[in-house]
Amino acid sequence: MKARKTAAAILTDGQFLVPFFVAIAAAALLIFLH
Amino acid sequence: MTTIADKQAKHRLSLHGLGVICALTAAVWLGAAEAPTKLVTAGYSPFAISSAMVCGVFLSRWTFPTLLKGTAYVFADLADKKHLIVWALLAGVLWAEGNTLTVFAVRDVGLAVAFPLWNANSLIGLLWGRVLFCELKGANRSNIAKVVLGAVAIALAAIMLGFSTVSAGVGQHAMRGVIAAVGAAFCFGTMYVPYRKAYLSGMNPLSFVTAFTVGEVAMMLTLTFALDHGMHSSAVRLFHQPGLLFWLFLGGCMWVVGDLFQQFAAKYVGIGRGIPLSNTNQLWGLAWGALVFGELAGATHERLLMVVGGSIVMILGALAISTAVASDQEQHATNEVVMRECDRYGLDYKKVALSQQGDEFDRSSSAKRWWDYVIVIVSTGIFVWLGVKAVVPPLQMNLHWLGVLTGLLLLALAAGTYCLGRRTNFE
Repeated sequence: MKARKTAAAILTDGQFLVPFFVAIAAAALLIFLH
Repeated sequence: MTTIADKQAKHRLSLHGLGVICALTAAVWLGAAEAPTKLVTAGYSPFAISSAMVCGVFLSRWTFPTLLKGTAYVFADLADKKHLIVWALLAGVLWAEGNTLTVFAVRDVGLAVAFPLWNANSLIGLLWGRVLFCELKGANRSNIAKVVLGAVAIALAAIMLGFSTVSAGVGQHAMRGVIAAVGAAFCFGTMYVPYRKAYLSGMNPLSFVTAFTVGEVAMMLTLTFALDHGMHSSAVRLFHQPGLLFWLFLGGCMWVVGDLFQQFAAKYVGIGRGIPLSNTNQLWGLAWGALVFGELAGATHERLLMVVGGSIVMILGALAISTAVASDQEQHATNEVVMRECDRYGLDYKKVALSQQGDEFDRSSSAKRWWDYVIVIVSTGIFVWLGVKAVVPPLQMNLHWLGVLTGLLLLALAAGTYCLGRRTNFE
């Protein structure tokens, strides 16, 4: 239950979502440059 | 009447001062760490170079940093703030992506030009610092002016350097190199979000780096196998050449030293100020590129003017930002962010607040165990083994400048370690 609560806190935290989406965009750029 | 405690407090280095020293030390080491990526011209793919560097980073984490805080301390800290492990892994992924992009950039536009461009990451860091961590909230006009003007100067400098690249016609894929460098700036600027997050939650930088290196090794190996012909990657060939591998491991080792200091800078002065200051690594990157590898030899007068002028403007901007010492109101805003973290993730506010000051409640787990020494001996042994087999890369280098810059590296390390150890015991 505590793990689920922590996971929910992380996934709704903007401070997590920003680096998460940048990481995805960077992976796409690497594929493009490759 | 002044008490002994008052005198000690008076002579104690301020946390802002410590953060600045850490950032400057980071700059010297991070600047030097990029030099080995020059090997990309020796016929290895960017993925191979990055993979080798990241393995060097991972291995280096388990050399001397283990002597600062033992494994018992690090794992107790990670277990205490489990949710931050995800952030640290994500930061590692961003670094691996950013580093691979820098190697693409170096290959297409050269180190001396690509390096300053991706240092525009300070703008990204500044943005995230303001939006996500309320940095500069409640700051006085002088501080806001310094930060805004500094940011504008950095942006102008990035444009100057970009133009110098295109007009100089470096390589066949100059624009692709510029795009890669800008992508790296985004990765490196955003990478500091997890850094700051961890330190606002009271995590020790050494603990953060431990999880961070796992994330970057995993991402780098994934990138290599997915995008660089799998088992036919030149990385496989590179890992069978210990003579060359040593130099990239050395680059990784230098990066770990720089990053550790950078982590402490992010902790003590925040990312809006810490990143620009550590971005003076551009000076050192240029010094290594131009003085040791002769990168700017034969460059036109206009190109030299663009590169040097852009670099100076960028550094002045970074200095303006970093001299903006946080006011009480700004520190109050930071404290509110800390309380938010404690509330959201169930952390002990008193413990976290103490950690912000470089003090910790429980130092008993700092003791080193016998296996810590075994880990250090094994990891250092691998470095020594690679060093014995090392061959000088097929590159022209100025040995005089190599000696001078190496001496400066060691001097910066000694000064930074002394200040950090004396003021906070690496906490």
